[in-house]
Amino acid sequence: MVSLAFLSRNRLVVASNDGAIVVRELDSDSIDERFDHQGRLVAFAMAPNEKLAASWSEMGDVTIWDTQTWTVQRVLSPGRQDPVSSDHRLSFSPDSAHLAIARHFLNSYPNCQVWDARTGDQIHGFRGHAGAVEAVQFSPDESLLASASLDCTVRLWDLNMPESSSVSTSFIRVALSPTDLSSPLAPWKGLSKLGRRKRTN
Amino acid sequence: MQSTIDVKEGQEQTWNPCIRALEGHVFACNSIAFSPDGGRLASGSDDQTVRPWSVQTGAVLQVMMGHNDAVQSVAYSPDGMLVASGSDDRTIRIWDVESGLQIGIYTGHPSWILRVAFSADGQRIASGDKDNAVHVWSTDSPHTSGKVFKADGLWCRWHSLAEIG
Repeated sequence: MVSLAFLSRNRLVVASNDGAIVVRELDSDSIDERFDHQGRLVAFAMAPNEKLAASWSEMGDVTIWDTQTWTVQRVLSPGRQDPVSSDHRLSFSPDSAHLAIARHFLNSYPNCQVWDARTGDQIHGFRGHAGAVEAVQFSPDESLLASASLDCTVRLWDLNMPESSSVSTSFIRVALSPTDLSSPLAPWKGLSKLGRRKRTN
Repeated sequence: MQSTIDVKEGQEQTWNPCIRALEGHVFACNSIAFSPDGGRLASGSDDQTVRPWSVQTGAVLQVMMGHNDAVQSVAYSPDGMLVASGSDDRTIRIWDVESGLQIGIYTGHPSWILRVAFSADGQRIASGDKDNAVHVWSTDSPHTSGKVFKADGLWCRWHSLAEIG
């Protein structure tokens, strides 16, 4: 088994390693939905809105599905994947807009990633764990991502920072004088804003 | 009016997105769950413990001991009062969050437990094991109220706990 979760109306979604995904009612013998992933799974997650699901195949790609039709919406490439299946490695945000991915390998790819489930773009790539990441989870208010690792720690990551700043940057401070931002220096406003939001470790 | 750009000396700045590292487990950490209000985070580890942490301070609030093997999955009840944990010791234990005490145990699985989940009303727990068996049982009477199905393939039927005995 790679995933087990409750859905609305007392239904249960179960994904098994052989690629079978089943949604069944708890209080009857009926099965609402069956979907054959056509290949072995290492992880699976249903979005809270139940409109999207994500599967991680042994081949290494993460597929985002429209669960109404079970058609492919996006295919994400989070980097090389350990074929050992483990639940908890895919997790949707509470608003179903983002997908977090926990990776095993320590290589050039960050092993803790956040993707936009609609566009298929990677938004955050967090590095810091000294070992493989086993589980990821969004906080209920979506301000934090928690990750659990073989390095024995749990880390909390700030999701409220600008997309590009998860990579350390250096720049020369720019100040405006006099403080006339109407023109032609208005584009520099963005830089001063970045400076204010900057944090040091 | 003339505007000028004044370039001042700067230095490299590093934005560290990791705002907290929760340290205390002595072996690998396998699973995490936020409490419904987001104030706490529970973690399950190969060190056989379950630890709830304060998200605000990073302090460990309890060390829940009782499992005899690695903890693979943790879940908060919808009201945030309970934590359920599933383990390679083939048991699921239910813990009171405030006292840290174990208040229930389910021993119906014949193999390692990979996943536990509370129903939205908090009355039932679904647990899945390594052999693709899913057990659904009541938190009030774990061993008399449950039923089981196997998730192998696309066809799976319910069985009562008595049937699989």
